[in-house]
Amino acid sequence: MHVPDGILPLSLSLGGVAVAAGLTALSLKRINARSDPRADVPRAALLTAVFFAASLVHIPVPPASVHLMLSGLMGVLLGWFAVPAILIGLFFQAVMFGHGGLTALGVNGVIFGLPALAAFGLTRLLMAHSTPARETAVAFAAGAGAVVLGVALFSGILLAGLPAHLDAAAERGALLALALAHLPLAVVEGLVVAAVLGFLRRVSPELLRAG
Amino acid sequence: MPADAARPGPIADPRLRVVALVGLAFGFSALAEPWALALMVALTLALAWGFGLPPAALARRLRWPGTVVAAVVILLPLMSGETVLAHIGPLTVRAEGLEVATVIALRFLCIVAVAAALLSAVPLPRLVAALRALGLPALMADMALLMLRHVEDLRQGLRRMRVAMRLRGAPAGFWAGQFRANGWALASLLLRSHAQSERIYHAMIVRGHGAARASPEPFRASRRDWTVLIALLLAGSGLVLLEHVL
Repeated sequence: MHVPDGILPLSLSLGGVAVAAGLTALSLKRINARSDPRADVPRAALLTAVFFAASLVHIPVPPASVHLMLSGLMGVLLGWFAVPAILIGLFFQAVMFGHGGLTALGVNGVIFGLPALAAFGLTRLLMAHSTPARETAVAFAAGAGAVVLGVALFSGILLAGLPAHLDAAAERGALLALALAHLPLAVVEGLVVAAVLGFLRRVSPELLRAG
Repeated sequence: MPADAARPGPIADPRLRVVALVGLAFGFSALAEPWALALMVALTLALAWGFGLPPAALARRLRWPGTVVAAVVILLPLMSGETVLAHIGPLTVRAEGLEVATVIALRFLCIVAVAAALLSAVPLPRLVAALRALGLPALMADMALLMLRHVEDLRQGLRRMRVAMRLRGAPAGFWAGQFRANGWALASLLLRSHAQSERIYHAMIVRGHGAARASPEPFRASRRDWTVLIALLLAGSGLVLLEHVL
């Protein structure tokens, strides 16, 4: 789900950088408006490490393989910290393993960051004063929905980036196959986010105060 | 420095290495003409030679993205285009798809090789300090430094937990239906590591990390550093300009 270097035209890469920079600036503005902006840095760094490591774990979905995205988990647990955390994780993945890419860092930041913010917004909107069963359902929706949104963004950006004279129907078919391969991952990530949130709610609810 | 890292090379200052990499990578991603791609490959080979890039460092970086790019490069000639070049059994290779696939593969390989040549010899904490000196917000620099400390701890913790789960009879394999157990394992790992993370960060704050008036790590660029940087940026931007003019 990472767009590698070399695929996208320069205009799209620069557009991704601009959007990612805007998202980061907005996130940092929200973070710096807090009474102690640095209070959540340890948690954000910890989840950045989880994000960094998890997306290198490939899961077989025959005949292809997919990797964990964790955008939903990042958004739900980190709130506004999710965007800078994701960008840092993506940067180190690109530098250390060539996973993703430096010119595609902005685009990948959008593909992972926007779903994280959407998951954050969804949980903040629907989880307040709700029952445990409803919280589990919202957590599942946030985790699974983030994957679906990420795949949709990835497919849209790739379609926009490939040359126009190529066979659009064939491209759409290939991207549809890719999207279908990610549907089981959406279910898995929904289940994992629901399990993590359920555990933390019972054991350490203070870790759930993202914002 | 990793065993398979490139040698320090003609640019010592990591800030200038980052600037050179960004300039060259974005420049390369704008190229599409065959002669420009040939010059891009030549420039990349010169850089790899100049910085003593070992093939192992490049191979390590090709492992993950290679699958995505390989899929695109293999599928495009078979699925896109109208001009038939050849039939291989039931498959048809088309010129337009092959052309785009070649451009993508060359740009990808050159950008990855340049990144490996310029950055593989820079220790990661020093790379973060260089980014901070180039304007990365202090909060993000602190997060990056703290993250680097956590990665190995998390990897070992996760491995211990997996072994413990298997010893308790949990089936192996990702699709073994252990999502809730895996989620709980991840959550308890986060809980355990969180307290440690806060202690480390407080120690970092005491040492001055993230302070508004903290003096950034000193970097000094030599005349040779600047000369090589300017030469690389001129070469990269020259290629882009020439492609648009010609």
